[in-house]
Amino acid sequence: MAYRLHGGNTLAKLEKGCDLEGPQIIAHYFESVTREKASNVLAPTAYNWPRYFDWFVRNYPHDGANRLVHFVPAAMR
Amino acid sequence: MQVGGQRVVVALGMHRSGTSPITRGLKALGVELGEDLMPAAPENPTGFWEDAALYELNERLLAILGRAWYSVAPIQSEMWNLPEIQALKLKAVETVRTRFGNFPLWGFKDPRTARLLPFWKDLFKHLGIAESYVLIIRNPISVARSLKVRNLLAVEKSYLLWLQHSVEAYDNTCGMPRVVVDYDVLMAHPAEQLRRIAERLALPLDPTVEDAIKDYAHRFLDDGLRHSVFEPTDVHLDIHAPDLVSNTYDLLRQVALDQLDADSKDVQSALSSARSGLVGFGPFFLHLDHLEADRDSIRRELEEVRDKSIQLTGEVVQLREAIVGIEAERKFELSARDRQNAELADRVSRADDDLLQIREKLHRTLAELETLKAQNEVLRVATEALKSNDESLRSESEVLKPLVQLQADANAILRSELHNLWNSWSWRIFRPLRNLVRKLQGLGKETEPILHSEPHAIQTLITIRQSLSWELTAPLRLIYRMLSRRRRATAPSKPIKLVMQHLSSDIAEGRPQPRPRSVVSHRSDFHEVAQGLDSPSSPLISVIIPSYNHSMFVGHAIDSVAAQDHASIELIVIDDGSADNSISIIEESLKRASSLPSEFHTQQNQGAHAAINRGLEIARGEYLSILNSDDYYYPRRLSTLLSYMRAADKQFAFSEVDHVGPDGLKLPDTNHVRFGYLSALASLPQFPTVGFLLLLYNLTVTSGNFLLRRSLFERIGFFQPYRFVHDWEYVLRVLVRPNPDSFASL
Repeated sequence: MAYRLHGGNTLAKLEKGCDLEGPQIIAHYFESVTREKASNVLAPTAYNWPRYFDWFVRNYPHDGANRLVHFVPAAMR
Repeated sequence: MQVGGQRVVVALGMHRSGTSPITRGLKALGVELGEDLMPAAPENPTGFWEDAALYELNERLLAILGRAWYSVAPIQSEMWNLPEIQALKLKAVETVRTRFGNFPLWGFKDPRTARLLPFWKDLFKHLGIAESYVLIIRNPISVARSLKVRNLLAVEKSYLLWLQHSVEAYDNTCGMPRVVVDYDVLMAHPAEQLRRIAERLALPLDPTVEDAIKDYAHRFLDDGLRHSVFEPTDVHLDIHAPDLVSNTYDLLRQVALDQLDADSKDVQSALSSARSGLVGFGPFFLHLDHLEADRDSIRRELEEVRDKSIQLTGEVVQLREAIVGIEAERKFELSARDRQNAELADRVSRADDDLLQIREKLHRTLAELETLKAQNEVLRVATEALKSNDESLRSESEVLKPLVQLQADANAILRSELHNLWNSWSWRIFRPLRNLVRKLQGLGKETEPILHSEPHAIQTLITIRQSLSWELTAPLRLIYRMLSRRRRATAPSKPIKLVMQHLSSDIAEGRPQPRPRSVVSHRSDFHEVAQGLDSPSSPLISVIIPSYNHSMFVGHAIDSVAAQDHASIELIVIDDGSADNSISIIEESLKRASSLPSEFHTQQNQGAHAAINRGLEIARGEYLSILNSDDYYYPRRLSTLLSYMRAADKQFAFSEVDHVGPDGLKLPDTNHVRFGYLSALASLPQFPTVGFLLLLYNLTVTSGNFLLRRSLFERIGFFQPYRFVHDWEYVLRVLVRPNPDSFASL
């Protein structure tokens, strides 16, 4: 499919929107998989990937910004 | 106990009249005086010969009557009937019976008795005791002098007391056996006077009594007892002695010398006159008693004050001495403290110096400690980091193992491709390679070692492919196209770029699988998969277009849906309150696509998520797809994705995205947005599943890239009210919910 870039969805606008709402949805994701076990056994959670997940959240940044571990609830770290 | 036959001899007389030695004489005459006698005193060294209990009774009597032994006030007759007096009489009965009940002849003396005779006479009558009295007189001058010395009494009062005691003793013993004895006469002739007493009172004079009289006269009495040197007539010379006293004394002395009878009319008349005089002055005597009582009270108070003053003076002296002592001690202590303070100040000064040095040392030590702590912390952090890194590397190593295998497989493919290239005799193939070599040589690279060293060659090819230089990538792309044509012409091999199966099987089986390094989707690839899958039994696909102020693009979007090769599609357009002419454009476009079942709804602006959700509510299809009003589909998109999802039994799929400009033409890979997307896509092989990459980057790009089954939508629900990332949020919810075999990316 074709995704159109034009005056209404410039890179700056997209990045700003992600900066505003991105951390919220990532935090919400981690909360949801902490609250209950994901039915998808391959979903990226600490339960499904006990060693790799920890390394992953500590080493990868969300959308090029803060590392994912900042969004992980304390109980899940 | 003697009852009825008892007899008592009572010695009566004024104080200091010699009643004690004369009473002792009664003892010589056989009169029992009792065992409990008052002890001798300095003023009466041979003893008082008074019964202690009877003395106490007389004292209590006087107290009840409000009198003292030295009172001159008369005792009125009605006072003897006071209840307290009657009560005391019972006590007196008991005392007399207890002490003298066994003696037929007993006696007692107390100068107070002369004024208390009505009480005692009543008692003797009650007890049936016969009474006898010895009336003792002494020169009033001797009595007054003695009382002045002993009791500081005024001689005038002593004369008055002498007269009262003498008159009342005489009056109250009238008609009773009695004898008047002059003390001075008895002292001069004791044996004679004792025999006189015995005769007058009818006391027996047997030899034993005679012996006792002799013993009394020779042993008991001595000249020391005779205190007075006055002659009887001297009283007339004392101007302080009233005539009544001197006359009464003269009269009673004559009775004592047996010159007159005690009961003669002359004596009775004289004493009666004296009694009348005393009675007449009774009120004055009472007043005198009161004055004396007041005087005595004041005197006692003065004495108490004086005693207290003396005591206080003594205490003041002691306090002064104590203060002097304390001041001396304080001076000594202050002096000692001054010395101690001086020593302490010296020690404190030295301690301050020591403390200063210690503090400086402590500061230095603390600084060194802080440095060591910081160094230790750095080491600890470094150690932790190393540990963590080690652990991470270990984990990563585990994860990378299959990826290494994957890379090895990819290398094998590339190696095969290189082998085909090197072994090809085709001029068309070699020409681009030579061009490539020339370009590389032009860039100053050594081609021979690169091309002949396989790892280096592979790395070089990857570098070239990822390069943004058209000059470098063009030859490679040409080779790629030629190889592709050649492969299709020679054998129906599996397209190496179709990664969908690899990825889906990865997720389905939960383990990494060998996969191509690059992830590319093209319409041609979709076409190949989709061919022959569309049929009349194909399920309905609902395409939802949320429209908002995209009048320039929304027509193109609708046309792209109408151009899909899938037969069973319904189109739902929701305009979210566009302010431009989107609505008319939409209506015209839907007219053009009249063969496409469609619905068009408008609403006030609520956001893209609200428009999508409204479309989802209306949609009837088994599959649900979204197309934003500024994007468009490639013609075979839906059939291609659908065929894959049905074949692999997937519930959610998305494809690679081409980025286009406002004119609808593809943007170069150098476009920043496009470049970021491709970089993310290229990193996919780093992760065990596409889910990990989705946490880092919205690989779907847009909700227009979604195709999902209704059953999945019913589990996931509607879009959340996010303005920018409602599509990403939806994908993350999808990521958690479906079964493992229901997720795929394309």
